Amino acid sequence: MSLRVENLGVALGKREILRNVSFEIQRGELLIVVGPNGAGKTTLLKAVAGLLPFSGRIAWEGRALATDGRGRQPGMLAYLPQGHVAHWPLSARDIVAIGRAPHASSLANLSAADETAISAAMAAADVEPLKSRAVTTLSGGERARVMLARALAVGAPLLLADEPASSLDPAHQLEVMRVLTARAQVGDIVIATSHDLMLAARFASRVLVLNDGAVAAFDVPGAALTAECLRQVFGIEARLFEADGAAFPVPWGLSGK
Amino acid sequence: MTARTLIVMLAALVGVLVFISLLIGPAALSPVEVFHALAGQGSAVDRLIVWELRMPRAILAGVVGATLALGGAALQGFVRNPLADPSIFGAPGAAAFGAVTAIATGLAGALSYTLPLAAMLMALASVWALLALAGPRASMLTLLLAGLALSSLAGAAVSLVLNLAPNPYAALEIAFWLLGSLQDRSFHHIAMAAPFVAASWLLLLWARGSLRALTLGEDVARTSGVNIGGLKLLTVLGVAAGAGGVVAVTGVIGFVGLVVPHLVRPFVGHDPARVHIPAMLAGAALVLAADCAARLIPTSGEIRIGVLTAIIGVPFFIWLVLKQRGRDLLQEQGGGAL
Repeated sequence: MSLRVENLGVALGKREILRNVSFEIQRGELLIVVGPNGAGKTTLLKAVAGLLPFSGRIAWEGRALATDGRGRQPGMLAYLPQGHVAHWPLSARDIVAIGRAPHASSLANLSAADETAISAAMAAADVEPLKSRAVTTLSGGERARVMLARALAVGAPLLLADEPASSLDPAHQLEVMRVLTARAQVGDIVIATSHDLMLAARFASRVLVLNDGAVAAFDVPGAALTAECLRQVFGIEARLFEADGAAFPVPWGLSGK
Repeated sequence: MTARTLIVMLAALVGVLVFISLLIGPAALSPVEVFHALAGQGSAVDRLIVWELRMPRAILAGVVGATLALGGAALQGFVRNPLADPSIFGAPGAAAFGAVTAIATGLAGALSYTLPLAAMLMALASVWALLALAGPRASMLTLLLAGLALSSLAGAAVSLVLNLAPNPYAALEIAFWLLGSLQDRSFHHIAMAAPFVAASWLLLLWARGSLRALTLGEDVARTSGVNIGGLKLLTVLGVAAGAGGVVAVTGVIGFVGLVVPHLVRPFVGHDPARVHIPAMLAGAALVLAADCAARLIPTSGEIRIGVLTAIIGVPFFIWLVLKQRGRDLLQEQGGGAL
């Protein structure tokens, strides 16, 4: 089972946001998409999620998905937007229960399976102690994990997470990455965007580097996040630090390009 | 308190208020006499007074309150903004324009159905104009701006009709009609509004389940299987049908749609899908109570119910704005509503 993207292009008006994006990932993979601001990371997730019309082809399990941006089959994927906005002060548990919307006929009468999925998702994201707190009173890190639990509760084989670890402290970043990795390990496909090259190098099974709407690199982290690639895409000089037999890039200075 | 307890209590309150409403009127009937007349006993005159004169008014008050509150709950859930009110889509304003035109041209006096028909036709026209103006894939903001433009146009048109009123009596009649009243309403009026109100209730109650996913924004709602375009159409049509139907028979009764959802949220929580039914009952109770108060407050003439709801509603509105200001401060880091 795989997700295959071929010659994906997205245009907003006359502006081309993405062009010729192609990659393929298998079940069990955690793909992290990196790239400078405005490179098209969010647009890529939205196109896969069916939130934007696009050209080219996206195939899930060999079947091409609709290109008209009118959504996907409910329950096929979970989409976690960046910003973690909640417009009403619902309890954390009610927020997580929204994840069951594609399955439950009414969120007022959840089935036992729904309840199990909600509890499991809350346990996985470590938010059970927060369940009766209003989501608007939570700290940024708590809210990020509640939103992640909501996405997990969907139980979809494809999880699209837009900057799930941004603006979190190191412990919560590791926590979120641990949850995403665990999700991939049970056979799902996880695609996350990030600005943190270290996290990408450490946790991704593959990294997609986007530069100005096009793929600059798509490979295992060690092969994708090379000093040369980072210089060209981000305009930075990165140093590589070795640990556990792998190299981790640390932005060290601006390259004078 | 659970939502179910609240619903039962509010339903009981509505029942009590309907009975109180039946007690009020120029003919002095005791509660026992009203009760007998309700049961089909007592004198023919008592039965006529209770069933033909007072009952339509009580029913209409309840239906109007429920419809306005439902419109407010649905709209606040859809635009994810607790300060939304059905009047922002322009339908009530347009309905008022249709009604006052009927009064000014003298058609309303000649044919009793002309006024509500004119009001509803204008309400429907305003919805059509709203959707045409905003376009098929309009954002909520565009829709609100289009609604604001149409409301302003309707307000200007109402002023123009007043300005050009053929005689002072017509102008006075228009002015009083605009204040909103449930006086001298019959079952004909209820029958006239019924199809619109029923359509409004059906559309808005049917759509309410989708509102919860919208709490997390349109992208999450869409990936959860919510058809945003369809939901928008249902909401706009439902709100306009309800507001148009209600305004057509009662004139302008403001602030109910804005205020009532806030009254029930502390009890049922902020889940936008759970507010609707308690809000309908609370709205019915509020308008019934206001209508009783309008008749009981000793003044030279009867206080118009629209005036009363506005006098109660505006301070509440100001309080909401102050509360919202506090929430804005809290939400600055997480991104606010709309």
